[in-house]
Parts: sequence; structure tokens; C-alpha cells
Amino acid sequence: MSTSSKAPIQIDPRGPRFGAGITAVALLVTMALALGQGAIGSTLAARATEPAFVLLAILSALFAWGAIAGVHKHPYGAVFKALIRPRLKAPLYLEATEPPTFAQLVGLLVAGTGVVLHLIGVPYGLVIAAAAAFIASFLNAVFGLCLGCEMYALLVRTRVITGSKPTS
Amino acid sequence: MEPIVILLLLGGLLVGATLLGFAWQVRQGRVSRQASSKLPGEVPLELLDAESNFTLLQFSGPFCSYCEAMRGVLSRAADNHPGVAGHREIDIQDYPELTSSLRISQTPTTLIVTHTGHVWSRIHGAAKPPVVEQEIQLAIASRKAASDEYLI
Repeated sequence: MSTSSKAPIQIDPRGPRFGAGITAVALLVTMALALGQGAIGSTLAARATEPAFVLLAILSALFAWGAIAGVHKHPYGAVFKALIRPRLKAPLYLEATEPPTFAQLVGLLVAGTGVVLHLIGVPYGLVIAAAAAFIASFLNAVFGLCLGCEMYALLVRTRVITGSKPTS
Repeated sequence: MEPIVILLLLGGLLVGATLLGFAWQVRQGRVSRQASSKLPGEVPLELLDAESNFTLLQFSGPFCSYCEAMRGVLSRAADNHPGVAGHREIDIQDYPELTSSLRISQTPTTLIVTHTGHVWSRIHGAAKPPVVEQEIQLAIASRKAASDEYLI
């Protein structure tokens, strides 16, 4: 018996994990590029054209895509459907799209913070944000743990998020 | 920065994240039992299955990766024990006070609740069917022990 009244879109939970794997590798490359180049550029234009920055900006845009359009419309999802899914067995269970979409929003906030910190010239701002985003996406890809989702229940418990839901 | 230092830093990050992952994995499906005889029970009776001795009360949330999976596990467990175990699912957003007073800090969390509203045990996170089955058996055994005591 279920109490959910709406019929949400359901997806293969391995799809978002596949995407998180790509993101995790890209974040490792971002950190290697940032650490490898030494001191960050002295002008805004110089900082905005550094390879590590460009990569993190692209990743932020991809997070935004997932957070706004929904994770089921993310380009990685299309790659998963076309190339990976046909080679796998049927999933044991399906997952609603809300948790991984929320995770994309958390990713956007973290990676976006790195982008802003780098643009205003904070040393290591980009690397630290990329490291935080890496931990979350790595845990998602390898262990199936959605860090943002775990945080959400804690926020409700501690009343940071109030349970004021419109009654329908 | 030297390439070797970069490699060490990133390797350290990878190891740290892996350890975090294992720490989480070990805690998934962990069970803790708590016996309380407080009156009234911690769980309001209207949330319980009145036709069963025990209710598998699942706390779910809007952003919960394993609530769907756990719903399947628990409803099948309840189907295997008609009249003994019933499955109910609530959204933490609808019951913020209860979420706080029962210290629900992750979804899914499943409480095995007696028909008097007392929490008998708590399953943290998603659990495999044998774990749920074992908790139901232990709950049945404890109820039997309690009723034998009453008869004496």
C-alpha cells in the first residue's frame, strides 16, 4: 500500500550513477589542471580563460541542465539509454526523478560556488569546490549514495526546512 | 605544483571518499532496538495498521533514492505476515514534529511499532528482505514472551 498520490516519472537508478561517474572523472581532471597551473591569473580575463575554470564552468552548466530540466532530460541520460542500458539486465527497482534532480541542484550550488570564487580571484576556491563536488559525485557513482538526499531528511528533522506542504 | 604532489593529493581524496562510502554502506540497513513502556506510545495510533499486531512504519521523503525499493521490500514482508505485520508509509514533510521527536535523520527509516504505538525496533536506511524478516520474527517472539508472562 502506498500513500503517494501523484504518479512520478520513474527511471533506472543506474542512469544518474553513470552520469555521476563521468562528472567525477571530469572533476578529477579539473582539480589536476588547477593544481598544475600554479598561481591563478591576476586579471579577470586571464582567470576566465584558464582550462580548469572553463571545465568547471561547463560542469556547472551541465548541473544546471539536470537541476532545471530534470535528470531524465540530461544529456548523460541519453548516452546511458543509447549505449549502456541495452547491455545491462533490467533494473531491480525504479527510482523517482526527484532525488537525482535534487542532487544536481546541490552539485550546481557547489560547483557554482567554485566558479564564482575563482572569478573573484580566491586562491584554491575552485579546487576546494571541485573536491567537494567530486566527493559527492564519486559516492553517488560508486556507492549509490545521494549525499544531498541524506542531508534533506536531517534538514527536516532539525526544522531548517518546515513541512509546510499545501494540502490538496 | 609538482605532478607527484598533485597525484598524491588526488589519490588521498579518492581514498578518503572511498572510506566515507564504506562507512555509509556499513550503516545502511543497520537495526537498533529500543524497548520503551512510556504511556502513551511514541507513535500516534492513527498512523498504525489497526488490523495487525505490528506496523512497519516507513518514513519517506521527497528526495529519497531508496524509498521505492524499501516500499517493495516492506509491503512484501507485510503480505507474508497477514494480521501480524502491516505496512504504512508517511512523508517526513507531512509529519515534521514526529520526524523530530522520533529522531528520523535519514530516509528511508523504518520503525517496527507495536499496536500500542511503541517503537520496538528501527531500521536505518534501506535493508534487504532477510533483515526485515528477522526483525518481524524477533518482534513476534518478544510479543509471545510478554503474553506468556502475563498468563503466569
